[in-house]
Amino acid sequence: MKKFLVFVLVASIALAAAGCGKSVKRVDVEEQIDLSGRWNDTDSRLVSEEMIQDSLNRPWLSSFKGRHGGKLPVVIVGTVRNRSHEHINVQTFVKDLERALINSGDVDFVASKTERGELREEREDQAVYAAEETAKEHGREIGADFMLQGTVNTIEDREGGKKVMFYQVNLELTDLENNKKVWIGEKKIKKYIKKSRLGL
Amino acid sequence: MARAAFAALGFLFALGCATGPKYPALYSHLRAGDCKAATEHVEKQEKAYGANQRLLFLMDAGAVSLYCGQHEKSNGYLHEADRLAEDLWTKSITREGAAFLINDYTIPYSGEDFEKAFINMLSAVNYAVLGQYDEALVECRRLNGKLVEINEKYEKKSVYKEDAFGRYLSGMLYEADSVGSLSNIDNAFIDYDRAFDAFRDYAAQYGTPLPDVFLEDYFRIAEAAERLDEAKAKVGPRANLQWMSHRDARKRGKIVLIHMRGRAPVKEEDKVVLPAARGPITMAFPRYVVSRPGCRSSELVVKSSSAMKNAESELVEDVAGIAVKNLDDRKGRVVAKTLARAVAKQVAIDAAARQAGDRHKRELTRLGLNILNIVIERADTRSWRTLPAEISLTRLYVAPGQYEVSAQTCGERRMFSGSTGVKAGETKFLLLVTGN
Repeated sequence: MKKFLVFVLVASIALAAAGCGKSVKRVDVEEQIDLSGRWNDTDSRLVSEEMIQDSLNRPWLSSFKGRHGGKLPVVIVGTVRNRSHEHINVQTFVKDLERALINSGDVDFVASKTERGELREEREDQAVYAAEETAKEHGREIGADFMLQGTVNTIEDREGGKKVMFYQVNLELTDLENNKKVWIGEKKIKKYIKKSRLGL
Repeated sequence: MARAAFAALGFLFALGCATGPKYPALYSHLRAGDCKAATEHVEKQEKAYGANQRLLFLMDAGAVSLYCGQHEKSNGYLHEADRLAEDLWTKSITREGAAFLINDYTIPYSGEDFEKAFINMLSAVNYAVLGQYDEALVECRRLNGKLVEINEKYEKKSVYKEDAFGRYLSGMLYEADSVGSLSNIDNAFIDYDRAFDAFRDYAAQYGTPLPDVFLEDYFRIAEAAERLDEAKAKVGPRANLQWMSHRDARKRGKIVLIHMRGRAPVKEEDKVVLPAARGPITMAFPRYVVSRPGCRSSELVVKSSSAMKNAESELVEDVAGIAVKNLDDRKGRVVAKTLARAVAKQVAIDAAARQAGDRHKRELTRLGLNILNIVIERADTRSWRTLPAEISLTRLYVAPGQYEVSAQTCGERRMFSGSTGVKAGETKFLLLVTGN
């Protein structure tokens, strides 16, 4: 009994001391590191890769170009609703998709509702302060053909220290003229997280 | 061996022994409405909380920032508190063992069930006031997960396992999100239904009357979700209440006032020193001391150029009552643990005394350690002291437009800055904090 009590006390000190100190190691952005079980950069990357690959290979793109004499479709980013159990920054994968589509040379994007406020303010400012030949005119914005919207949903199942978390991310393109949905991308991710009730 | 053991004991005692934050100074800053001083005070006290009270620091910082209208900062603290509370679910065997030889302060404070639920509720209020309803609903889903777990843990026991204010807020948020979406009407109904069950328990356990404003909302959503008969059967005699239909409510804007007042009860210690043949036996137990706020009423006043509307707020959460009952429910376990600790310490003191040389030294050692124990035996009086004592709520439906909104409370009028515009189907949440 005495030896057990001493062991408990000495082990506690060792563990308390072990909590000290910090080290930093730079890692590759592609490296998968899962620490807490919550949504992380790997999840965002998996969603981006799936959405980019899917959106560029579906018929909506060639169909639009065919109907409009080769003109590129113009997309505006709308709202991606977070209907999940975690605060997820959807901008990481939305921006990845936007970047990939623009850089593919097959899709044009226009500034979103939140972004264009600043642009319009700048044009107003130019109208007053910039040289006339350099000031950009109002009423020359390009109207988008499609809006990109989406949702993140989760289903959580937990008991004691065990939890299964299922994420489903859907992104969709809707024709702004006739409300037709022309593309829906989907990525599902499932994680099993286990916590121990007792630790040292 | 004995010296090593005592050195280890001393170290762990020091670990759990932070000076603690200076609450009286914080309360006086909050009472004076000096938010800059209050938030600076909490932040400067971060180290004084100590490693084992990190969760309390995050909770206090989160609550104080909320009261001071720093909603994003508050959420930063509350999210970290949520993560830490989850991590603290895993108990350290060595720390729990050490607690039997010292006191519960060697174990990191992991929060009472209702305190952990309040982390998400206060965060949801932050997001609601900011108008970020998606993020507020994330917090409501997290709250739901916790309440489901607590429900399963305690099953039929009459303890805190549902939260009326949390469910009511969640229902309102789903309803706010239901414009053009029928599925959120169903989600809203489920939360209102659970809120009704919780209010019924609150009436029985804490004497909180069932609020009329809630019943009107419950029936309105029940009708929209085509479950009105079910709701009326549950409610019984008060089902004759009048309410605005969902179809009419959707054409109007809604302004909700959440009033948080007073301070959560504080735990104090009752120490008992029993004389015994081999030296005094010390036991310490925690007990809540409740102080109710002086001003317990508030009225939402909404003025336009042509008309004025007002509504009295109604009590939706008696936090003080919940805290006291929660400790009462745990009393059996607290007493058992305290007694077990008293026994374990007597065994350890006895073993240490036998290490000493002659009989005289043994008795001196035993006496010395028993006297030391009078000091180190402490009841765990840690709690989230910056929670409000009570929460009340009211709401008004108004025609779409711009309004001057204020809250009247015990002879004082508090204006909500700027004019508040509401569109048809839109909900605006406003927070009033008094009497801290």
